[in-house]
Amino acid sequence: MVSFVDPSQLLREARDASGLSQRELAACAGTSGPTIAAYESGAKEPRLSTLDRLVSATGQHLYVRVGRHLTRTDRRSLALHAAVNARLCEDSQAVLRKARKNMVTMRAAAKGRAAQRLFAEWDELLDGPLTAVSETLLSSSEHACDLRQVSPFAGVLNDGERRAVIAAAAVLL
Amino acid sequence: MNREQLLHAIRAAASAINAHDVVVIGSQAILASIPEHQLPIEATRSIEADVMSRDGNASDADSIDAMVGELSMFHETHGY
Repeated sequence: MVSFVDPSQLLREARDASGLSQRELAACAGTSGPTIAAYESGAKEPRLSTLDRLVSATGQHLYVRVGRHLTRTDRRSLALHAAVNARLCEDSQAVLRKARKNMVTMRAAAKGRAAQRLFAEWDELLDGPLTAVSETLLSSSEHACDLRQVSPFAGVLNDGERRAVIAAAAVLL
Repeated sequence: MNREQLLHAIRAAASAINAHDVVVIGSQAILASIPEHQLPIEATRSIEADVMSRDGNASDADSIDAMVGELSMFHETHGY
């Protein structure tokens, strides 16, 4: 998710992806070529509704999301789980096998004191469709952050991979 | 995480930065300060602890995280 959007860059990228010229896009969207040029150069800033119309004219969709502020720890956790998700896509069986094994260890360590509700949710996720697991690994929602706090994916990344992700995330944090 | 497990994690975190002690922050700080039997069951609910070096150095935080943090071998081995 992008936290800051430069409308000029966004419009330019959308138009480049569509292969339309500024004049062609203007014709499609019912505006003028110079107006498109002004938006793309940053001389003028389009309203959100205008940007939506222009992006739609390129055959794409403008998605706008409101998300809660993530803490440094949340962002690092998200980066680690994005790397886990990449591994999940490569070899889901091995990753899920390790996750189920880890659930046993975590339950034993928690001795009934941990957030059993979250453990139960992970059980359901691990037995459900892969897309739901991916969504939980990649979501910035508060609930996904809570679930990742009792993540069963320890050991999916080796030490070097973990360190690389943490180092890369540290640059962005 | 009970007190024994918390102390284990604290020792590992201190070792990761070659320090004699670390600062426990967040909800687990109370578990580090008060005997477990005097606390409500909620105090042992979490499986993670937030710790930092005495001076709050960010690179120490990353070292601790790399050694004993989320998804680490320590986490895999001990479940917290």
